[in-house]
Amino acid sequence: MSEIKLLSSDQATITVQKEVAERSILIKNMLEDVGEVTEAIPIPNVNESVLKKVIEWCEHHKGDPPAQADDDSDSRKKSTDIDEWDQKFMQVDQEMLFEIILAANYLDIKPLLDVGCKTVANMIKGKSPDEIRKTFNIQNDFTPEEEEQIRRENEWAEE
Amino acid sequence: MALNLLQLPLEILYLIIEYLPISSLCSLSGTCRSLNSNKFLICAIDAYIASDIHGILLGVALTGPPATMRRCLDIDRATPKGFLHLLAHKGTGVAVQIALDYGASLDEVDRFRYSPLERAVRCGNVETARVLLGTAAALGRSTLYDDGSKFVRIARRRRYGEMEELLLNFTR
Repeated sequence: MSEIKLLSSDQATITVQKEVAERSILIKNMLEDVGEVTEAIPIPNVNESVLKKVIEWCEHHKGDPPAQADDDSDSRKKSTDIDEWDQKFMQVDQEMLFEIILAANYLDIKPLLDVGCKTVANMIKGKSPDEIRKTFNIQNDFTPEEEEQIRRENEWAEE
Repeated sequence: MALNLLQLPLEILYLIIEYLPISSLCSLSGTCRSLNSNKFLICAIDAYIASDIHGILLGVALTGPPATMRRCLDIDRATPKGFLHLLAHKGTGVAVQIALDYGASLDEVDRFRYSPLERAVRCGNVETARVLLGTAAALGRSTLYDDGSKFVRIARRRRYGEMEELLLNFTR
């Protein structure tokens, strides 16, 4: 099994199976373009701790069948079900969660990006604006009057 | 500074939005100014409204705030059939005024051949009757209400005192 090296933004070299690294479409395409590489591939947007976490996910999911095309991509109310292993994997602090999402986006690992976005969606679901603010540390910059008006405007959508 | 939700790129926020039900979209837009004016969030809410516009419109027209009713009408521009009758019966004066502003017709008739105004009179909704009468009078459409003081008789027979008084003020 061939291995390749990745170089994180903070200059850490991580050795990883080629098959695992190729869960990233960015890396897969890069390897296809350049053929054999011996030097570490720089991943300038991702630091070591995040990259390790992403690789951990790729290792667990290396045997996954390729995702089938999203045929219902425009239907609303997509399911936010997440499998158990991924749920545990995503139990990290919020900053790490967002870093993983950004890394998955940059590295083009669609299933990981989806899991990340679902995790955030689940943190928003069923919460009032105030609870969402608390969860994500969002500053309320409305005046009390604006807030009341928005609350009334949105009443119709309440569950 | 720690990375937070508001700093995520728009395309990622968009992916998250796709997983949220309408109630969460509205809650999210109610958290702060930047999310309230986020174009993806606005589009997602508008798309949801458009998907069941008449159902939502009828719901908000009867119970919801005027701004949401206008938002629905801004998307569709057309009021559904029977809309003004429903409002004349069960709605508020404000809701009737908005429906009229958006082109609902005073002349539409329901299955009993009643106009919206007649429906308001027969149901004893003084508030909506006042708006409908005012609009008809402003348009010079007195034929809508003073046909042989029929409406006054209806109001009297049903003992709608306030309605009778209102109608007399207009027919005089």
